[in-house]
Amino acid sequence: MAVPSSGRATAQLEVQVLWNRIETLVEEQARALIHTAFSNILSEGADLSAAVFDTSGNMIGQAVTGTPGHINVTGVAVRNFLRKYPAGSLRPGDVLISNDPYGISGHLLDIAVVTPVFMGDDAVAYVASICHTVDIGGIGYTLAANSTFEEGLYLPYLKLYKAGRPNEDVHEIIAANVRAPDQVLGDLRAQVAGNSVAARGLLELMEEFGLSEVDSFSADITARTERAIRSAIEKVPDGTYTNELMMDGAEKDIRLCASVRVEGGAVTVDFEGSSSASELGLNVCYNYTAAYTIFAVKAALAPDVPNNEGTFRPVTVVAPRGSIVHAIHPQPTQARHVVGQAVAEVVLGALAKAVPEDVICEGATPLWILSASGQRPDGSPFSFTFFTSGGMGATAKGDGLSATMFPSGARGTPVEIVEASSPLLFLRKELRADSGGAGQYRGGCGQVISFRARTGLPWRLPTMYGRTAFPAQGLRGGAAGARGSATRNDTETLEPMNSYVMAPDDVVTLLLPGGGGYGEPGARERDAISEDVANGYVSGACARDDYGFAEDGSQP
Amino acid sequence: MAALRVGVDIGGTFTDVVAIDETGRRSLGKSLSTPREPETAVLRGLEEAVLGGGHSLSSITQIIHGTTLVSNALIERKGARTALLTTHGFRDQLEIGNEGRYDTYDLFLRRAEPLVPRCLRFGVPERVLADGTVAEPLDEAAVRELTSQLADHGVEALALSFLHSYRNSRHEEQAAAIVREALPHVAVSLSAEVDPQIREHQRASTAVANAYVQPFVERYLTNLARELRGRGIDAELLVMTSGGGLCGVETAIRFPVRVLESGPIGAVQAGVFHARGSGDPNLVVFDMGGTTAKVCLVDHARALTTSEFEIARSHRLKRGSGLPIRAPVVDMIEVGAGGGSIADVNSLGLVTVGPESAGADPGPACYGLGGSAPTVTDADLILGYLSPSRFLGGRMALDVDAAARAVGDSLAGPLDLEVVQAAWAVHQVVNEFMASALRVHAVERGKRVEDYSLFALGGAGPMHACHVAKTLGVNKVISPNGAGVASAFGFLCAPVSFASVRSYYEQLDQVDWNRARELLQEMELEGLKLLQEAGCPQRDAHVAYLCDMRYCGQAHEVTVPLRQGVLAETSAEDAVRLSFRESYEALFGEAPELPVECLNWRVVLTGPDPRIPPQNWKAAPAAPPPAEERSVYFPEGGFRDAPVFRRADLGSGVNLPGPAVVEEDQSTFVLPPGFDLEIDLTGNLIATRR
Repeated sequence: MAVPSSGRATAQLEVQVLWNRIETLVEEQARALIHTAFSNILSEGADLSAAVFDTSGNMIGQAVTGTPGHINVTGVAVRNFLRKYPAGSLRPGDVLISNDPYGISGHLLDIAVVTPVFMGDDAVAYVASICHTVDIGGIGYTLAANSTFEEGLYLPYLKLYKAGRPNEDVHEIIAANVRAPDQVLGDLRAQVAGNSVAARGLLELMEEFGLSEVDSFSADITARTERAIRSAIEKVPDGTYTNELMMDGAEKDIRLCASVRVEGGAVTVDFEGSSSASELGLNVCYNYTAAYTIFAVKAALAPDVPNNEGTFRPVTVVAPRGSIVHAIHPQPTQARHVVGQAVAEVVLGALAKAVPEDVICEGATPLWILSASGQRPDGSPFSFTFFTSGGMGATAKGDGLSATMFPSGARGTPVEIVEASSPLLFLRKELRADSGGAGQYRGGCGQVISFRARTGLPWRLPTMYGRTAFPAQGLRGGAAGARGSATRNDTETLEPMNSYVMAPDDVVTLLLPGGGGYGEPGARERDAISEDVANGYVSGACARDDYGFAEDGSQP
Repeated sequence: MAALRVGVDIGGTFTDVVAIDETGRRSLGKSLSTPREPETAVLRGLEEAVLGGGHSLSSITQIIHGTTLVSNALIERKGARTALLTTHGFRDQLEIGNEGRYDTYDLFLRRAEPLVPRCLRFGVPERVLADGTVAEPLDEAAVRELTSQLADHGVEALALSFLHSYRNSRHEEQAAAIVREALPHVAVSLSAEVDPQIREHQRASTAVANAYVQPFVERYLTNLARELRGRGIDAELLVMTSGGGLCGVETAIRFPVRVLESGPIGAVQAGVFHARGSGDPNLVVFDMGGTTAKVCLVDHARALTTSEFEIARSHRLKRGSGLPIRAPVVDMIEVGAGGGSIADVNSLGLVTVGPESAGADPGPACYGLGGSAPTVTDADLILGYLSPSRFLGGRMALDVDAAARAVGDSLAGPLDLEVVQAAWAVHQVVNEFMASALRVHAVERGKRVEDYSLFALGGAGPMHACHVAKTLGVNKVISPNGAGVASAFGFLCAPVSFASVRSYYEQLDQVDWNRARELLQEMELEGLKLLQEAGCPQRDAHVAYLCDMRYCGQAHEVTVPLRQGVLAETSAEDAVRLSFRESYEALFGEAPELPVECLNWRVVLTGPDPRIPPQNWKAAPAAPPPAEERSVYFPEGGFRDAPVFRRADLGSGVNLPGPAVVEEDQSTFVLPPGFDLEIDLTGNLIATRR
């Protein structure tokens, strides 16, 4: 071997230490952002990504916080910036901005901020973050628009700062177009500051290790990652595994088809056959589809391998242009998470045919977004958005988690915070018995949530949720979870992708769906069923029908 | 007759006792812990320390103790059979939590099981609104009916946590009275007393944890007090809280959730004591043991504290995998990197360490007890940092060949490195892990790690400290004298203290300042009373007001100190806003002009720091001849012979250049090239980077 052993040892250690330091840098960047962000969705739900890139736009490392839809899109996003601003066109102190929904993360509410890192006159790396902002003008956070033009302010790839000075024109345009300019600009400042934390750290690191560039390190670490992912894929038997699922849509039900071809150390996922684009904001850009596809492949096959450019290379995503999973300008995209999150489920379902023990059953995907608005008795407007979730699917190792978001990385908001910040009042929020699909491992339970407004005035509630027509399917003999539903005053059923005006005394009740079960219910441990009955996760009637128990929960 | 103060640290394995008289003279005791009846070990250790020091038991005036037993009872699920009473329709808040996952990619993720199973969670009709008004009165008959169910279920402890009880606690109080009357033997915890703060999940979780350990803590403290009196010891009994202050027995029994983390706090307090008396007011206390390393920042001789933590993290110490507890706690981070942590090669071909640990059995490969996985200790042995013959004072021989085989087979082979290079990689990687965790922690607290000195404790701390310091850009490392009993000693250095909190959620420009003042004064009076019970007169108490604030819309609060008397001023709003901006700027660099809101109001009362005379170490300016020379590995030039000293042989005033090794029974200090060592007047080892 050409490299003397001590040289090799040094090289090994250097890669080792650099990798650790870069992971730390992006973590610092993300924490700084989370703590200073204004968007509830961002700071409570950690809906963001933070990452470092080499000069070709290859992602080197990324903060582990975040949600998959952001995690895997930043690589492509940075390349899009570099296409407009090749290295020579940037100067120290420049900061770039865009929310291109078709080239970044799928809707106008996500803003990307990219900072070139200069060593002397050369850009040696890029630092980027994507954050879900509070507001972007237009129609607001709903799927009701028919084109991107109605959905809000569209920022093409622009300079937010030029040579260290704010580009006032861009700042003014943003301020004039959004409903909460202080908070939106505050979030942008937090992004810029977070980026500079990482940029400064990277320069210090390069100095400490005497590096004049990071491209070689990037090549090394991404090659190692790619090898690790490929060897995980190689363990899956070659073949083509197909799956399709139906989901609630706006004008019509939506079909998602995935054909997963595994060949050696490569995977190609083709969404041919999926529904055509929606008239409303359910359309998913290619980037976001790819993000959730890569998430599903990685979570099933190589959950512990870090996320960088090397993770993406072995996975090819094919999605028909203009379909619901490959939106093109000006198709509306604001609620792209609904279908985007289902992309992960349809891919996991296809992989289940090859490696059933490594995946998870279908769950309550997508998360339920509730965005109530109206007037307070004094005439001032209120608007409050919160996320909530049903049950996750079961796995070969255990029951599905109840009331847990998946595949999104978002989180819920406490009842007391909702009630203290808005005129909403909850009457009930607890687990929903008998909603988890029966199986050797039971699906997670959904929730029952009742709420109303205390304004004495009519109020608005757009609905953005799913699984009212198509329950979460089980695997290997496990039963489907319960469907979701929503009613007004326990009588009128609400549609999932619509918008309602509520009367002052209306009570909305949501029954959130449960996750699918794994394995034959007959194989479930008898004690586990008795415990479920004692704890009321499963009723006596269900224990009898699904598991052959006596109705009092005693074992046959 | 001497007046003795005694510190007692009841650990999982040993109970350590330090007695100290007015002259500062210390005597020590150590006994095997007796977890079923901890007081037995306490008395044994107490007698050894006190009688061994030539004192009588009756000369003890104060006993201060801390323990890991309370958190162990919780982690091992050995607490009382506990039920939860809550608002009808919300009984699953304990299980629903924040509906999030703590790991994006782990499809098999598990959450920490709630301490109360669903069959013991009961809802009762009642409702208080966010502004404290009652929308539905408490159904007292329903509570009465429930008491018989509680009895049938054999419930020993009960937590009450109703929605918005932080704002109006009447219903919780009414329900508690009914339960106490019907079931006098059941320990009852009210969320409005234990943790009166907004966010129902955390408040319920805290109240439940309090109820869960209360019977155990009450039994143990009552027994201890009785046993002490039985021996004629009429001493004041104080308990170390997780927040770094002391409280009386009554308070500990009422709020056991406040003493959950009292065990590890002793080490931090030892650091605080050093910071107070030396020229190093800013310390990183770095405590590296067998399975984990704990790190904490001491800033201007005060340990940084926080108001929320997690206990019983179920998965690799990951954030979010434990049970949330809100109580004042020293802000300590724990990393799964200790001497027993196992090293491996990951899928990227890089060395990783921990969080899996070989524990004590089989332990590292070099213990020769059947372990074959390479650990940090194995690497340290190969590098020559540990002596094969003098481990634990020579009581245990270490097998270098077994260590080399383990490192060779699992690391050097797959990576195509020499064994020593792989061993160095392990040492370096574990140092980097700890340094990274600390760096992120410091950034979150708005601190620069370079401004601190490293205070190294634990079996493995002194061995890794200098290399960690180098990685962090820290210039000074302190290995304190008497590190083996640092924890019990640390308890003696803590002041009496009590912290209270109340939620009053309002936009800053809408705050009713009379109400805020009333809240703070109410908490101050309550705290002063508790301080007095713990032996601190009112006039000696230091009072601090704080408020958790944030910009409207944010999810993370900043705890802002409020200047004394500021609320009485007519411009209270402007003054408080200014304080918020200053705190925010210190943390995040820039504070925009945007609407601000207040969430929680806090009062912290602290008694005076106890005076402890320094213990002088023997002076001997000349370095003695080394006890031996040993071949030790450093990346600068590989193996070389380094002098090895016994710590007891080094008098104050000695200066040594690195490389060198200083050994004592429980730990080994490694001084790399590029560092100089000095022994200070109290026998501390002080290493500085050249």
